[in-house]
Amino acid sequence: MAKQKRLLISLMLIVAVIMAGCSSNNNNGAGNATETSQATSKAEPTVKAAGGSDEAFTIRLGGWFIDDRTFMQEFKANVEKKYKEKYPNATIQWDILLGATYFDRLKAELASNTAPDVFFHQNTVNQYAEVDYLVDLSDQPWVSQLSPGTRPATTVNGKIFGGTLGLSGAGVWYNKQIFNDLGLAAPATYAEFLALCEQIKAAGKTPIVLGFKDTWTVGLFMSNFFSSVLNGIDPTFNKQLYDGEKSLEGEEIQALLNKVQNLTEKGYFNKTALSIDWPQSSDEFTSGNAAMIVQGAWLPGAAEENFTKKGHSRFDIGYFEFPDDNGFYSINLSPSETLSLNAKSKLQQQGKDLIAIIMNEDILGPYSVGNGSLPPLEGMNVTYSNTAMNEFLAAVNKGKTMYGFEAFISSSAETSLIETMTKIVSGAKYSPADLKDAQTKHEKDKATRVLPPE
Amino acid sequence: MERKWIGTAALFVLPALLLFITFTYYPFIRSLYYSFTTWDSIRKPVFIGLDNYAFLFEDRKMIAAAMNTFKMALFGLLIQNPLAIWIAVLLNRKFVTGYFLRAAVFFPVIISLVVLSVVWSQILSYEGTLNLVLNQLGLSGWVRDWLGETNTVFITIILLTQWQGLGYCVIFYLAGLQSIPADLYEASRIDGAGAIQRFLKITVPLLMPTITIVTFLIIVGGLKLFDIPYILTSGGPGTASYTLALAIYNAAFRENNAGYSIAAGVVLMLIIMVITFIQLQITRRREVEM
Repeated sequence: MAKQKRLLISLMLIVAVIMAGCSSNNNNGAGNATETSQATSKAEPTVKAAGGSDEAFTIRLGGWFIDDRTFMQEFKANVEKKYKEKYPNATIQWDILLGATYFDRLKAELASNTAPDVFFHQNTVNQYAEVDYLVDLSDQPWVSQLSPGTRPATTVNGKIFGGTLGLSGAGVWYNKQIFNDLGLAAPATYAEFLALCEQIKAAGKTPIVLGFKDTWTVGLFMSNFFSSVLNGIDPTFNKQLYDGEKSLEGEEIQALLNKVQNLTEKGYFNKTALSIDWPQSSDEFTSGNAAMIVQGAWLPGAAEENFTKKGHSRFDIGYFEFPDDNGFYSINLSPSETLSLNAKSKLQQQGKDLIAIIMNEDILGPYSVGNGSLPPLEGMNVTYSNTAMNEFLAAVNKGKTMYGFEAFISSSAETSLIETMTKIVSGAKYSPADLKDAQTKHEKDKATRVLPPE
Repeated sequence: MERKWIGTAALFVLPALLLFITFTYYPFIRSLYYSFTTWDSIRKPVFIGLDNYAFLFEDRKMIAAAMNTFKMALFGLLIQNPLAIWIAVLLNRKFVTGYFLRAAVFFPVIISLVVLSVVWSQILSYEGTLNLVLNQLGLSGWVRDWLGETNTVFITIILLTQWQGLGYCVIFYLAGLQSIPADLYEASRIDGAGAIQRFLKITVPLLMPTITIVTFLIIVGGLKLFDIPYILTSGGPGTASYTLALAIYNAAFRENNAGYSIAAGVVLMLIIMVITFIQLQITRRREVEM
């Protein structure tokens, strides 16, 4: 009797453990301050997909950038409204995880077959297509409208695996009020840029505000600062860097780092450069404490939010890209968020329809205006309400647009250079060993880098 | 009979064993394989033999991270550990504000790391409270971005980490001190032993089991340090506040080099095993039982 009791208890324990281990545990919302998922998520749709517009189902859409900015909320509302017109009883579950952690979670979800039905991602089309995570969308109606600039980013072996929400650029945004008060104009050469930094500093303002606590801003600054000079030397410099004909230890990169060192030594950056993040640097700019900020084309929209919600005095914002010594500049334009369909989703048609709705002028138009991105569809005319964006467009149309040099080196080499940049901005001098480290890592890991299309 | 008992015992252990195998041993064995590959955690891994392990000794960032990590563990061993014993001895006495002070010492341990990092990053920033106080005291020459300069960032992080973990060690020592019979101290006073003699001849030997545990926790905690540098500085500026755990994390999630990251993790595991083995051998030999 005692033996049977013990056996029964043991069996119950084993069953309980197995049941616990097999339960669905895909809750994204609990305890995460940055997460805005609107419902507890399940890997499976609420209703088995069987086609038909009246069916009730929940479709999951994953992303990392859809925050509480006004145009983002409007984007969500517009998408939901359009989708309801096609599927009145459908619900879109927005699986949003703000920040870089989203990409790590997406990788794990794709590997474990729990990823959203439709998801945004960035710079991973080749890898995901290679392991069959993505659906070939070449036959979709919006594909023929994709602009030549965005198409290559989502094309693998001639097939289209997603759409992009636009082309993003970056550069130097400046406070026109400060410039006008000091009699300054956007610089045409690097020497003019240095001269205006000195005048701004003498006037008691911070010439350039950095928010390097967010390491992505370091990469963005580096990419923009390096771009004009390297592309001005040779339009194929970046490719030569990848192939090993040019080196990260070379005089070109050293000269650029010396320039950054010079800017630091002259006190042209804010003293808090390494302890404030992007939103705080944005506040420094819009509060009028700093004259310039290096950021993406979303800056005018973010500034508008600060003017409206934080009560900062409004001023006009101007744009220029870092010029080289000879007055040449190039702007890094790259496809922004890519939208793809999960190959394992049970809502294939519904997912395709959701992507088609998003890849439409009605949705992309307001999004492009708010985000400051160039629209991805040919023939789309977007009128930016912010004059700064028009200056950005004019610069894009007038200058050269290219991929940044970081698209041609391994991630580990880029990280090494970013660390060297933060070291320089902290006031320390960089050493040749720092660049040797970056070059060694590039040679070791360059096979992991998927080159951008030519 | 014994065989039946063993069988029953095995059945009870089986659920936990299954869990361990599924979530600990199997992933560990699998990870060992990946450490010999180049793998971005998306595509198929490519076998490269010992290349990842060899590169660990060439990678300046890993070497810098290792130096910082050892400094952290050493500081904990040489400063935090004796300090915790001293504070515990002081708190072990009876006085009016004793309980309040015990709570105050333990309070940093229970603060959320997110809250701690937000508060301290404000205090230590260039325009933060610390620099404000220094200016008011006429020490403007000492004003700096404490977390933004290569020569101050890591010592600042060490001090923060020690402050945050000190109460944890004190509580352990306090519990150990309270298990030492008071009559031993009485007897030694009667025999004319001074405070230092009582501490060295009674307190330390009988506290040795606790010292073993706390030293182990300090060393392991120091070698595994990740959260505070990750939240406050991301290892910067440069690699000035890098630790091994942070370097491993960045290799996997920022550089998409999961194979290399796992190799570094295996090496860190071996380092921790060797150091803690040596430490346990040294401290256990000195343990005294009543």
